[in-house]
Amino acid sequence: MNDQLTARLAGPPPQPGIFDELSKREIRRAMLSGIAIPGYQVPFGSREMPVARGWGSGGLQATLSLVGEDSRLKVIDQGEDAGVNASNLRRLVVSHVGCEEETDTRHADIIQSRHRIPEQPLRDGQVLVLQVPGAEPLAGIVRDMDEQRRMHAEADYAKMWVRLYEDVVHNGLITAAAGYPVLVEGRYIMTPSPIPRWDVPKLDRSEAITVLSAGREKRIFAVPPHTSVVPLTFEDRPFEVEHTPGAACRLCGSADTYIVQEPAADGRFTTWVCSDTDFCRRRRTGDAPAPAQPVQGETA
Amino acid sequence: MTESLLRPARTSAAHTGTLVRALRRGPRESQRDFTVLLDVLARPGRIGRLDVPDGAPAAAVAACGLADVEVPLHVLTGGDPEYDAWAEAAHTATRAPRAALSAARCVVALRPLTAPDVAALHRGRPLDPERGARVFAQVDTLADASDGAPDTVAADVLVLALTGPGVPGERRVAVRGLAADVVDALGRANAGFPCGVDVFLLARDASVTGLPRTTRVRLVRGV
Repeated sequence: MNDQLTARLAGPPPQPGIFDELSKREIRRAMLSGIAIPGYQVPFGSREMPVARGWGSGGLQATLSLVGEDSRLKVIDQGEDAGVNASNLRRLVVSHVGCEEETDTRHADIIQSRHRIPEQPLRDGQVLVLQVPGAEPLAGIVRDMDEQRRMHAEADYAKMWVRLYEDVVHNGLITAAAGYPVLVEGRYIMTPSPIPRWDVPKLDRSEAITVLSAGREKRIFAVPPHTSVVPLTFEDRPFEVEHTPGAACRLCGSADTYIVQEPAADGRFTTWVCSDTDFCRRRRTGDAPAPAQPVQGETA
Repeated sequence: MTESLLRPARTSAAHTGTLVRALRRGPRESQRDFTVLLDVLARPGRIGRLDVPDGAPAAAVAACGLADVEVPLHVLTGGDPEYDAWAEAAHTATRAPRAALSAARCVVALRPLTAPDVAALHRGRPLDPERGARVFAQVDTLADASDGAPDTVAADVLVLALTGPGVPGERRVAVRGLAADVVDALGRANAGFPCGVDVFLLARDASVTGLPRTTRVRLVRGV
């Protein structure tokens, strides 16, 4: 209603858009700071977006600051290019910027993702934008945000280690599943967004730039290429990734990718499929790297 | 008399307009600039290339794509009238507020950067290290020296060996127009990570390389 009145009084806005240059510049500066201080959460003024906060508004702002007309953009939700969140974000950016849509990981310049890192190893020249629902790895340990900032500033992570130790004592293993805490370049503890453990080793010394953006919490952080990202664990408790013995993708037969259970008609979960649909499709046509031998999975 | 003739007519609206126009970056240009700046900062020692209008100092152009009313800016001109005019134009084009060198979030060095400049820069605090200065320093030339023998370069060229995040192994760049004591001063400014300063070096031909605070710089050869 208000929009109609404004348009009638003042005419349509001169450049229809969803993101102004002032906002883009602030996010670009935050990204550069994030690259210069790997793993540090740079505060930024998160804008209102045409998606609700918690639905990728942070990733959307980062992507809109990165893309140009000549970019190829891939957006995935849980490894799936056709997911509702992914399709809509991709459509929004493509129609706003006029860049190219892409689903093949190898040809994308910018990959915005919710919950996964593609199976295809990323390359130099690509930027992975991860949507982050909870940016603070210390949130479940201390509640006071000033104290969280102090702990990061002083690299005082004793309470994080106590938490992990208690986890081992109570449960026999570190139970953190998605968003497993990592140490970046030996200095900052960071949450890698809710990617499965399977994807955590892909962040270590990656060829691509990783940008993590939390719209709700108004923070951007980043990992440059060739940077050490180490999952937190103890010497006698090796970091383990998800693995179900004997399970393989129903479609491509892969047992060396991240696979998820799918519901059958009766509601029971009996079969598995690749989470990364692009990689699965290319495996079936022989256009993807062959399975690693022997099947990896136990430790990373 | 001669001096007043050489000084660009700062009162002349036409001349000011030319400089402001050269520095003002539109949406497409600032997106392309940023793509290059992000790439070279994430991969220290890699040399990128900006698209800069003829005659404009690349350091000022690069800064103007990122600065705005929210970014306190300081331009080092050394009293050179031409550089002073570019400094005025940078403030006008971006509306960035003026700040003392020690308080600036963004610093453009049109005259050669010196070690006392680097020592005076704000480095941020452990609670807000992102407030450390971002420096755009004009140099004469930049070249990749990763596979060249350091002895083959000219006498006034510094060869810097870079290691750290973003660098697989080691990269080397040859820089003309940067003083060796600036490299030492940068090392001291960045000794207290996460506090520190991030530097972009920009050559006359608009090539650019990044030296984030995480990069360890070793002087392989230099005067």
